[in-house]
Amino acid sequence: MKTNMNNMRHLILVLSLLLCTAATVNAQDQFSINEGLDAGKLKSTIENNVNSFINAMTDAAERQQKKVRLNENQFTSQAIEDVKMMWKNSPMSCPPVRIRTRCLNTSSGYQVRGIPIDILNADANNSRQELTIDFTREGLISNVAIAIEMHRYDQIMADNHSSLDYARRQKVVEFIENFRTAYNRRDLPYISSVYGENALIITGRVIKEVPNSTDGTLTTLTNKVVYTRQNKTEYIDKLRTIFKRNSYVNVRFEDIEVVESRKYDNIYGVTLKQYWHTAPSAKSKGYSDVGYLFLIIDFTNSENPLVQVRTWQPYLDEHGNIVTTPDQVYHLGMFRLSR
Amino acid sequence: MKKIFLLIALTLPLMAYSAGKVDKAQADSILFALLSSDMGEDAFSHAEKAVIGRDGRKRGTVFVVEGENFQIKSLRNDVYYIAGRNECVPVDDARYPMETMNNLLLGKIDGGQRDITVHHHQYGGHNATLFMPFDELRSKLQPGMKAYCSITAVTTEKIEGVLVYHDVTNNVIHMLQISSPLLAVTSGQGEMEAELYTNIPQDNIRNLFGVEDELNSPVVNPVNLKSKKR
Repeated sequence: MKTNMNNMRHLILVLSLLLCTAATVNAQDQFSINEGLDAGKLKSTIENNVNSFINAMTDAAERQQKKVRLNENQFTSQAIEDVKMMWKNSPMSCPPVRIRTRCLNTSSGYQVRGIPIDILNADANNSRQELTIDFTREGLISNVAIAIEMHRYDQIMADNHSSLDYARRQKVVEFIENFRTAYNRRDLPYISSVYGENALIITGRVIKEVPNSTDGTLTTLTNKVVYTRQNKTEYIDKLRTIFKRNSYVNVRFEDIEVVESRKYDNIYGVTLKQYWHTAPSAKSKGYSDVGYLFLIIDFTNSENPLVQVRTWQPYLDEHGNIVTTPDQVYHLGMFRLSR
Repeated sequence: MKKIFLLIALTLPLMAYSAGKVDKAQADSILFALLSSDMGEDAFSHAEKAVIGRDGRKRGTVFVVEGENFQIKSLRNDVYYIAGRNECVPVDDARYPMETMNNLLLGKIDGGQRDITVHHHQYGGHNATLFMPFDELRSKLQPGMKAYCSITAVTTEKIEGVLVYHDVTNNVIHMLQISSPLLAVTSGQGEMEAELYTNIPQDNIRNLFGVEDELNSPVVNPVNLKSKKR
């Protein structure tokens, strides 16, 4: 009887030892690195340090301890203080799952991410979080952080959507500057490439008109602007002739206004004042004028924006009289756009 | 010496550009040559190591030191700080990706091992692609310019933002639209990507933010926006 009791005790002891060993093995194996570090002392050090940390948290959580016991040989002194501070506000434990993760190189050492933890005093929706752990080059834990929730940035992002609109409009300005540069360079291939095949081109010119008079009194000539419509081919051909006759072309843009279409995304109307000057040469007397230029630019293909409408209206006549006022300038609302 | 050379190499074309001595095509070309030149890692400028007093703030507190905005409210040069043991330093912390990205774009923290692929949109529709450390891009573009940024998206996968460098004297900007995997920002290494638009003059703009008038106007002509593919 006594022998049987002793045997039973032995059996219980052995079984307990086996269970403890199994439990210890499981805890040691809970975290491992499967990528980013070759097998060796450093990898073992990091894995041991993380597993030890997980055990310390789980142990402190189970015992509801106010402090977590950390092995000071596995942490930097700063990290120990940070973890203790974190524990004070948010005690946590690691769920009993196997964790396999990649080890990243950082500027100061290494990092592992995505270690699941349960925050003990958080509500059910927010209790599961992930830890990111940084290591020194020797494998000591140097920083422990809870990955930030993305939703807290939503409010900030909502205010910053205007930045995307701003960027689009600056691209319109950049296109306009390229467009102007092309005229100064007499770069006909580029100019031709940015006009849509069905581009509508309207050019105004000033004529003198004699008003009807039935009583024989003298009347002064008045300015009238007449408009000519051209297609792309006609316009480019005329421009080619101008470029051939004039070796120097200077185009300047002022008062650029960028207006977005209400109906279509990526359609912009641009109004500006254009100063055109060609110098006298053997083939040309030279010419200068100032006028309002209006462009409808299609940014649907942002790599290749297209000018779909170009209108030009003279600002002054030859005597310096204003012939087009700002309210008479073409604008987006005067064109019915369709796709 | 190399830094001084770079500063001159970048500033002179901008001055000449605004004075009409070089045009946009030449200015874009000069800038591309600068961006694609090898300046050597020892010439990278370090981020401004701005450290400010803790002023009684609780350790671990993140706060913003407001700067100024540029042209729109959201384009700013605010800096995010985190209170340490004795002082506050610019945030460079995996827990705060938006703040870290903001500081990175403004040059308040080093680029670490972050690289960037830059698609440079030049005059004539030429797009040239460059690849370099982020610190190199900053070292080449930022000297002599004021930087402003706006973070436009933060998800679990990526962060996006707009970065503008403004040459105050010549009133010209360079603009980048940057996209980065979240990991590249939080881990200090990885590849970002950017669309770069350069030499955009600002002094001849009257209104950048117009929206089409709702008033009905007599329609002059219908316009078909369909164009043949080029």
